[in-house]
Amino acid sequence: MSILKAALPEKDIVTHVTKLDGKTPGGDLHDKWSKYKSEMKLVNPANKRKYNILVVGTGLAGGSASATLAELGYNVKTFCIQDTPRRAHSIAAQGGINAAKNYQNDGDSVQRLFMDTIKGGDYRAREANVYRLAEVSTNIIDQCVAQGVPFARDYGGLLTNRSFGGAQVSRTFYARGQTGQQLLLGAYSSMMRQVAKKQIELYTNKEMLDLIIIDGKARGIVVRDLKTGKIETHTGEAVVLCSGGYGNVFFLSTNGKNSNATAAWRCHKKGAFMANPCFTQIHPTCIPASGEYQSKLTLMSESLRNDGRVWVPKSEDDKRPSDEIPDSDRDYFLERMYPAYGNLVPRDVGSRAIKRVCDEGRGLGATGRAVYLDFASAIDRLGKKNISDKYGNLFDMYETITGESPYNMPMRIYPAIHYTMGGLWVDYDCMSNIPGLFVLGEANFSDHGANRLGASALMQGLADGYFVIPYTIGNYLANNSMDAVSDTAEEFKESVDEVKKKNDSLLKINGSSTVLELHRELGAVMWDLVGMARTKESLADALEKIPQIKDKFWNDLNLMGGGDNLNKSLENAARLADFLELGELMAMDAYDREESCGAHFREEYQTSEGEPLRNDEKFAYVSAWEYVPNSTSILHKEDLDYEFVEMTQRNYK
Amino acid sequence: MSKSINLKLQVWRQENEETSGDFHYYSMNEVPVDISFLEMLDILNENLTKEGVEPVSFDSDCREGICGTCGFVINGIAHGPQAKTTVCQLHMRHFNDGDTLVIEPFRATPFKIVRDLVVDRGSFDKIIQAGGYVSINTGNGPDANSILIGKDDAEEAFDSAACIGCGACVASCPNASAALFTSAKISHLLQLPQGKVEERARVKSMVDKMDEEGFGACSNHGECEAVCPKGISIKNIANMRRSLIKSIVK
Amino acid sequence: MTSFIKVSSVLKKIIIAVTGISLFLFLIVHLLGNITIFTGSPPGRDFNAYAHFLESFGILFTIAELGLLGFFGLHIITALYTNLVNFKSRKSRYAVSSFAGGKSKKTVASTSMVITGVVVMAFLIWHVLQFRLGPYYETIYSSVNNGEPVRDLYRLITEEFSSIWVVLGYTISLTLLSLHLGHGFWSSFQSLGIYGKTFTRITYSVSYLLGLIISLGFLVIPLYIFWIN
Repeated sequence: MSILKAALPEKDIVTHVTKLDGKTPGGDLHDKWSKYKSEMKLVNPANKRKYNILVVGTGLAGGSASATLAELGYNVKTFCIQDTPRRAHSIAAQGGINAAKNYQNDGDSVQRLFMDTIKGGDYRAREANVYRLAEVSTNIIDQCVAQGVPFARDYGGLLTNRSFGGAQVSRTFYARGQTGQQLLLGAYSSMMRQVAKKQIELYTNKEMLDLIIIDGKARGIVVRDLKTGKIETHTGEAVVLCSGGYGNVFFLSTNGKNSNATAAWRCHKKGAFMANPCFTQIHPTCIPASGEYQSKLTLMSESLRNDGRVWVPKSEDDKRPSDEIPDSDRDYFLERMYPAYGNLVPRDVGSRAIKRVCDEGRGLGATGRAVYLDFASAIDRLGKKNISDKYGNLFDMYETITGESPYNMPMRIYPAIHYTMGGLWVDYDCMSNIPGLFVLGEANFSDHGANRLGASALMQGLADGYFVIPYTIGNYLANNSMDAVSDTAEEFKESVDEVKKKNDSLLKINGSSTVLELHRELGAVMWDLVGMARTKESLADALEKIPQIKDKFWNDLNLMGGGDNLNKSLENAARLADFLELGELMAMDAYDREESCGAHFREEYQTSEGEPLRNDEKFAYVSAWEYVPNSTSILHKEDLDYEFVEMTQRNYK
Repeated sequence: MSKSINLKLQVWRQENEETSGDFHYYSMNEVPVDISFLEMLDILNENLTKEGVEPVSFDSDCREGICGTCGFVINGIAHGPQAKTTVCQLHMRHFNDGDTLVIEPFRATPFKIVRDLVVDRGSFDKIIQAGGYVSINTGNGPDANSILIGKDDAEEAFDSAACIGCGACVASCPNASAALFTSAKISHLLQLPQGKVEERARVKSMVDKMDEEGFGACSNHGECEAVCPKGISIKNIANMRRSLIKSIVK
Repeated sequence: MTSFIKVSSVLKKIIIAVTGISLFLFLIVHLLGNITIFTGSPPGRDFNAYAHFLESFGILFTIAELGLLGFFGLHIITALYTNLVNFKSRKSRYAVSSFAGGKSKKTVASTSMVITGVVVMAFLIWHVLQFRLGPYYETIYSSVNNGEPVRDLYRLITEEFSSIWVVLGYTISLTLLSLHLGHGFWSSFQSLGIYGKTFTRITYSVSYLLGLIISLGFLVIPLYIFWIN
């Protein structure tokens, strides 16, 4: 038995005695946010220009935060790793954005969106945050339309909606299958307006590699210029981290190739708590992997489940082509298992159902890891034109990749890693436990609990950036007087040296395994052992295997090139080094959470019908992990007190 | 399923912006036809790394054809031979056994070559900064449904807004003109009531910026539309010109 | 000059389009006028009468000629300047250049506008020197100019076009002109912002045909004169 395995049993996970406080304001749920806004301290306009705010990342959260803070008069410096901020991975979101507008008059309300989100997250999110999210959702749509986002409209010129998983109302606004792109370009354009006004200084091709804390407050960052390899420092009065999720720890995911956890992880190593890292979402409808060279997986929007029907042959021996299988020999298993929600069950439920039928041997193709998503009946009912209007670009994308047309034959789909609910721990102000370090969007853990509903990621990113941070950051700055700092401070020097040393050591290993090979190896372990279904054994196994890969990485890495110009391998290696540490924490977190909830499915804890079985007695808390160098992380707990909602077993039947 | 082809690659390699580059020649054997062009380059880079050669730098991110990060020129055509497809979505099944592929970066003076096939398209940001937005501060928007926009108008605006900013239009244009990119944004906004308000100032400022950044003039080759991964029409360029004439006449 | 350079590239293209369309119309008028070469007796009478008719406008004719020169000048200078900018906008060239096909309207003609343009410009200078400023012959027709002498351009034409080299020069220049017009015609509308799905499809598809017709129309004369000699 290895040392690590010995260190694992529950009693060895050090739990901090004092409980974490989310600093939720008091009062009735419906009034908390307005009360906060009316009672918070303000920064007067003349003083705002004295504050430098560093925003890291330019996705929906970072873009909207940069623009809004600049509009308010703060000096904003914004950093992104791409050649232009418009490329952040929010751009790839397809389906839509939720908002409780109730334009369809189908009974939607802020309360209902709140309830759906809480329930969808399997009661592992903070009530007050989720309510605020639902509350500001309507403003987001107004804001985006005013920016010129071309949302879908009906013939009368009004906005139209579609339905998404986990909801019985139509509240999802969309712009064909490119909603994320259009929303991002909206935020980006607002941002560019402020860049032109010199209210934002834009830094492209810069990767954040460290957080600088001075006198206990976040006061600066260290970045690497990806084109020249130069290590630079920037100071500010607050750091707003909007660096996205860490799905790429699985290697194959729907995340962009450059999406990474490094900025967040380096903050974690500087003391920011990592919350619920094991909550990773698997998206049920992705194009299955075709072979060993697969570099990433492509999502097919959840909106397809509005009109597509998911099925497999009833018999595992049925190897006929899809069009030769009569209806009577098909198993529309989602409709069968969940008659109330049918094909529109939440993502975690859908993904597991697909995994189950594939595990039964009824999956399609050589790999047995695919099911049909069939549009034949929708095309019969609505006509090809109608379907093409709604999903044309998705169908084209599918055909480009697979060479098969969904108009003629059903799509093949399989679940893939898509989103990470976990992230840096933040309080109600979206501030981490390090004062002055704010974390927005997918990078924080806050609003989706153990499972995110479709079309809610865009909502959260923009809510945080447009409507939360402008208030809470003001409150922080007004309440904290700060001395000026200079980047000649000792803290900066140390950090710069540290960063340089780390890069140099990566370049000096001279081994034989490439970054890609090692990343694939980590990905395979994560997917098999910390993936859609986990067990105590699989997690213990992962906790043994990940350090082995880590060892191999630090002793046998083959990295070409140098550190003073564009070197993608070096970037990827540094990111993989962080993924390796994060992967281990994810396994640890999953190991600790001896219940199933939302996307976290421990096979030991399920109902007789195979649904996740929560343990609210013991696990109604947020796990927030504190990094301890060269030792096991310490677990802090934030209890989830549900004051306004009754925790029940989710039921989508 | 597991069909594979052999290829000869002629790839542009250049250390950085200052140095001059040249072509390097690589043979690729047994490339599965089901993988994408970038996955083929991934394999090349793995092989090169194993041989002790620095891998070819190329940019990519979403690999779904929406982020606009990837892009280079294959045998003289930006994003390669398949219409409406970025190189990340271009699959090897469109090539034949024995093909020689010449791979060059997007070339245009305003797009500086960072390394090998990677170029910096930051000049597009400058064009957007010159007016590619609606001047509205957060929180000022009226109720979303108070602005009525006909379905067809919304769809047309969307067609223009679909631009991913990859730069293939510039790369393919014999004049390295950014007219399609610039006009797509101008056209997107002028087709919507929200954007119409600032039409005149916007068109003038964005067109001037486009010139200032060093892009060429559009002389209607229409190559941009043919290589555009989103099929953005040169109709947008006509819209931009009409709008500019209007801004002068008025 | 600086204010000319400052004019945006889009506006410059509009100038090129407006002058281009005007010159195109001029070519049509010129071509129609040329028909008189084939009519009248003795041969050349109608043609010389037509030339005399134009000259009889006196100062107005001179103004028209200067105006035409101005349009040519503006068209050429703007286009040359634009080409210079375009050249600078891609300092390192592609090793392989190709045609994307599909919706592209890039052709040999569209990519060689500056070459065809310069050749046509040289041709024009030659053409003007040859005829407008060429040897002044006179002739007398009882029915023209009250029997007073008029310029015998027809004689000049028959002399010039009896040389195979001249005819060859015209053939080459006019072929290039047809390419220039082929891209220029439809492109002018696009430059002026006149776009319609059907309109553009039609103008584009007739553009090269029109260029060819006009060039052939002009080319008939040297060939005809050479033939009858």
